[in-house]
Amino acid sequence: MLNLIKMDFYRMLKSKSQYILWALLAAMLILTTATMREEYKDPEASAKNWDTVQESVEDSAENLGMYVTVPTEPGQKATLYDMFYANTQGKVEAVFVVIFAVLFATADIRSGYIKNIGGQCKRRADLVLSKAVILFFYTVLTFAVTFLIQALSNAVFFGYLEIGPVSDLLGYAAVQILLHYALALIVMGLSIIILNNIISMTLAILLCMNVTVLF
Amino acid sequence: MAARWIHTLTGRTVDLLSYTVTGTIGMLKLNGSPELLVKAALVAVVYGVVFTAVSAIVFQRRDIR
Amino acid sequence: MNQMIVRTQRLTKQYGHHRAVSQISMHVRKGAVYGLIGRNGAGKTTFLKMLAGLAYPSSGEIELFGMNGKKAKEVRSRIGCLIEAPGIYGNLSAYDNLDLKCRFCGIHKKGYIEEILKTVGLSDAGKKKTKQFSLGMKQRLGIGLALVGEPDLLLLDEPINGLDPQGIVEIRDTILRLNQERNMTILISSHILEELSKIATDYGIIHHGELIEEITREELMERCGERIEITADAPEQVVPVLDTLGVRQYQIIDSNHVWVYEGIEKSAWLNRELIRAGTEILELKVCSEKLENYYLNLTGGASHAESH
Repeated sequence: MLNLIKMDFYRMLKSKSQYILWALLAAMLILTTATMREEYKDPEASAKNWDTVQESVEDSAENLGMYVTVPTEPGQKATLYDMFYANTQGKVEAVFVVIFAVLFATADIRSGYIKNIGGQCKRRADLVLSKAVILFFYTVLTFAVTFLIQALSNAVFFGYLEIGPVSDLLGYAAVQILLHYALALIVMGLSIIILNNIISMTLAILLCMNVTVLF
Repeated sequence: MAARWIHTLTGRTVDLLSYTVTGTIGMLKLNGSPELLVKAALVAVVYGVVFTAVSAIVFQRRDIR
Repeated sequence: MNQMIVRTQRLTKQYGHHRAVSQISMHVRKGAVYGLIGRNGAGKTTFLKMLAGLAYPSSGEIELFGMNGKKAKEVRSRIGCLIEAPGIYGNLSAYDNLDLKCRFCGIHKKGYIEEILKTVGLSDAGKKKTKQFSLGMKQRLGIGLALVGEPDLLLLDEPINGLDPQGIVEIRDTILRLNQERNMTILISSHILEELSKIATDYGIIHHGELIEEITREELMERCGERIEITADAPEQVVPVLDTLGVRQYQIIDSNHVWVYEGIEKSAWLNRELIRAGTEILELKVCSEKLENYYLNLTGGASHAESH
């Protein structure tokens, strides 16, 4: 089992899709921060928007779609916690986690590499468990990248870096990492069972868009 | 839809969305109470374990093509 | 008696209503190069997949290295396989593909990967991504992956498919070298009988999922090799003459035919001696049967088969 994890970890590091997805995530975070900065430049416009935002915050979790709504009040400083909360609640990180989960979970099956090792495992289920371990590493690293890029974006676009309440942030981040990891496992499971990347990817994106609301 | 069925069958109102992973990701509050955080973590653990177990069992039993 | 590395008992694989492999009982000796012959769709790949642990049998037993049932799982690490198209990551180099397998097997020896690349003739592949490899290079990398972990049994499913003549020669030489230098048991499936006849020591012929014949090379040569076919009224008159002449390798086929397997170049002399001894010879001719024709005759594809 340990050898399997080492093999899959090396495979993760060698995977181009990981770095591409992180680059896209970084671009997305920079874009949302830059957009937010433009909104907050105009105090009147941001005050008008505040009421609308407050109404939609309650509904956004229960509607189909993805919404990034920043909880910072007009006139207040946008903290790292605020920006992290907005992007996480809007499932920005979730999209990139699930895309990677689909690609990583099925890469060995699609390429046929599984034929080189599948028969030699005493318990074939270990191959799935190994992937589950690697997805945990990926989820944690993704959130580490998120924090780093968000902190840099805040410093660059707002000219300051306010973290916010650290203990609240850590608690929130830990639970969100667990939730995103669970989402990755759900998507990994669907990908392995369905064995069709297009369907799996579509289902994964729909999950991020709250498709469960329809049921 | 499912919530309506549950209400019809049991008479109870259940917010199913708060028991899904994606629903919990979206509904977790900025300054949530420890109870809410623990509930969210439990939702994650249950879904994670169930889906991993199911996919492992399917993979174990299926031929490799 | 040679130790049996692989033994199957009435092995069957059913996919819905289609029986891909039916009641195959087969034996592979240690150190043999076992050629599995069959047309496309005969069941060779399905059979090899079951041996490799990639597919579960519907019924029957597999014994590997003397172990069967759940214990067979313990010894599967001693098997290397190349089933159908080589399974390789296209965006990685040959080195990286092998490196992954080495990590899986827990192998960290320095120079190990380079040694395997050298064995399969890919030392010059460099950092090239495998998606840029030719089919022959991919096949060789597939064999290289099967060799990681020093397997005692190698399962090769049509390894020379799609290769050019030089590629075929190289793969053949690699297989022979592995068998002779490392005493590796090799089970190789192919429908290119000409190639198989150059390397196999044992043969199994599969047709419609059933193993219809299992013979050694020596037995096959007896049946296919060059021989003098004597047609006589009374073979019991021929046999004493052959004994007197010192001919030992002969076989009475039926009430009219005797086949002689030695002294093929002296058929004229034999004819003369038999007539001088007073035997009634109706016909004497030199014949041989190619493996291809033997296979076609056996499987009922006789419209294309002819004896020479």
